[in-house]
Amino acid sequence: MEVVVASGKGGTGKTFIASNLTYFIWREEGVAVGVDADAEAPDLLVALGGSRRRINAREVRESRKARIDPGKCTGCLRCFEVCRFNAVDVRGGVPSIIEEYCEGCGACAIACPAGCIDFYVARTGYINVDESAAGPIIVTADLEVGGRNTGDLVYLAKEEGRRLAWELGARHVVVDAAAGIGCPVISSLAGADLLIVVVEPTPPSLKGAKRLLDVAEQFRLRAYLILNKYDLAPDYAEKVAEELGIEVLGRVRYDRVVAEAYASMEPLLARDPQHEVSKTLTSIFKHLLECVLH
Amino acid sequence: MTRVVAVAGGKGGTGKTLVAASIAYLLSSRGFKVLIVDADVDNPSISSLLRVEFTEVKEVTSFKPVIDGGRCTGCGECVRNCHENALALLPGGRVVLIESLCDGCGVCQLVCPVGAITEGRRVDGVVRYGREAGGADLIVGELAPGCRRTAALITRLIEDHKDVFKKYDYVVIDSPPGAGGSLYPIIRYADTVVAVTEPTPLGVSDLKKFLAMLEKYWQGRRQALVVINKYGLPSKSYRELEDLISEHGLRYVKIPYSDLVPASYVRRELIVATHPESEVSKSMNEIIRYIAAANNIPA
Repeated sequence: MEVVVASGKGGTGKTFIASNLTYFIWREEGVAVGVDADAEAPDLLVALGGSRRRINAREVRESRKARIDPGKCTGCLRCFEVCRFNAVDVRGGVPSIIEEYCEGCGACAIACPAGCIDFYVARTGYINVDESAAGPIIVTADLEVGGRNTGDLVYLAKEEGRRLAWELGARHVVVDAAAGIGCPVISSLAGADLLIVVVEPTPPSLKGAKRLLDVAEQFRLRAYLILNKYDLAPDYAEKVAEELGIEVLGRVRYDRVVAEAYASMEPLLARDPQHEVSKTLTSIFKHLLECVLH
Repeated sequence: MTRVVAVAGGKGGTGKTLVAASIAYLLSSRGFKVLIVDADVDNPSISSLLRVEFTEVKEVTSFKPVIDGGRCTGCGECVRNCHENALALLPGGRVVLIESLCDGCGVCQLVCPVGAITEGRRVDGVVRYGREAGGADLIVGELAPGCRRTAALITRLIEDHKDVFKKYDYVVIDSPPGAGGSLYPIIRYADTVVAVTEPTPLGVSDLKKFLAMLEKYWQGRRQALVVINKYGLPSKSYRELEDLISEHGLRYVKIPYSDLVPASYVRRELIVATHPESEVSKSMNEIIRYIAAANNIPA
């Protein structure tokens, strides 16, 4: 089964839940695969203690970009007229391509009467596979700094995760999604079996989760809720659960041990298994594995 | 002269929106004409920290091909040139659009030899215009759920309004998390970047990526300040954060961890307004002093 952990709003505890869930599965079943689909800010491996062993690193070069030869350009600006992504800059009367805006669609090259536009392929990012210090195998989508095509990279990372799970005999893949509801999150949700929404009791988190569920509905995804840091505003936490209207897997207290576990780069379940928060997580994950994912 | 301040920083949930709302409030209360731009279009939330009255909403649309079956000869030229493989030629010569794959580039329309593709529109999101109680104006971008074009919407939000920016002393942009290309239009026009992080290994790792992006886009120009929020959390990351910040030749301001913050979120209040003497408010004022000094403006 592919389980996606997402939230809409950033910083609600996606990586906290995803890292501990991956670790829990590893401890229970001896093998676990996690996929970090937050390609712009990948942290799942960090939360699991970093890399013990790099298994594989693959460069992905799939970002096509246009390039204008200023020597042949006649300055007719047809390229500027047809580009729908603001990617042709015409300061000084000579057009040039803003790489960060270019989608590589080729409209400019088709329109150019002087034939002075060609293409090059830029690096999209990397797909890394590591054995984490805590144990689980982690596939990381790592976007090139300032890169686009995040969704493509997430697809490739998820594919790699599924392949590894099959090879290693892992029953589940945990996907740690990016914040937001855009392209990389849609790629994370596509083809998944289950969505865990992690919220904190604040209005922005409620709004983000609502928007996320709007997107998840298009994929007919089963969704469950974890109320993280619920004790910061217990009444509001219940309001969040009521408004979202999905089954609550559990309520996790805010505690300094979470920060301490992060500081030591260990999943809380490994560092302090007897702590009350660890017990809460364990019961949530047990229920998930036994009753929801079986 | 307008100064554009972008609040960003890599990791999600570090306090970007709180910092953006607070500095906008403080600048506005000092008599500056302030525009707040919420560019976190996936999940815009600055209006949940401020009392905002929205006066206008505009749809942001993009191109979508509409195929005129009467004119289409089924030559397949559009299908061959579509870089997202969003068009398919069915047996029998009919062309269909897979809308979820289409990025709206318009190449199909350019290559169709018989003019069978006409201009259709679809909604990528909305832009809302309003004013908050303190007097600052507000522009909020909001992506339509299910739409994949976050980067394109942010580009439109900034590029279409950059002339509006000129009417203000300060433009404060609340940015999405991350270090990808969707931040480029924001960084492109920013005079000062405030990078908000937290003292966790995750905060360090994401700030590293964010600062690398900033160097790539800025090539040594202009100003940035790092804000370490939730300062005081038990952590071994302080040293590493400080080293990273000084490697980039930057300074930082701390915001102490405070229980006031989560509570204020739920009450939809701003700490700089309700608790002006608190440590959090003092830090926000320090950020303002930095911004003013960096832009040669008396604070």
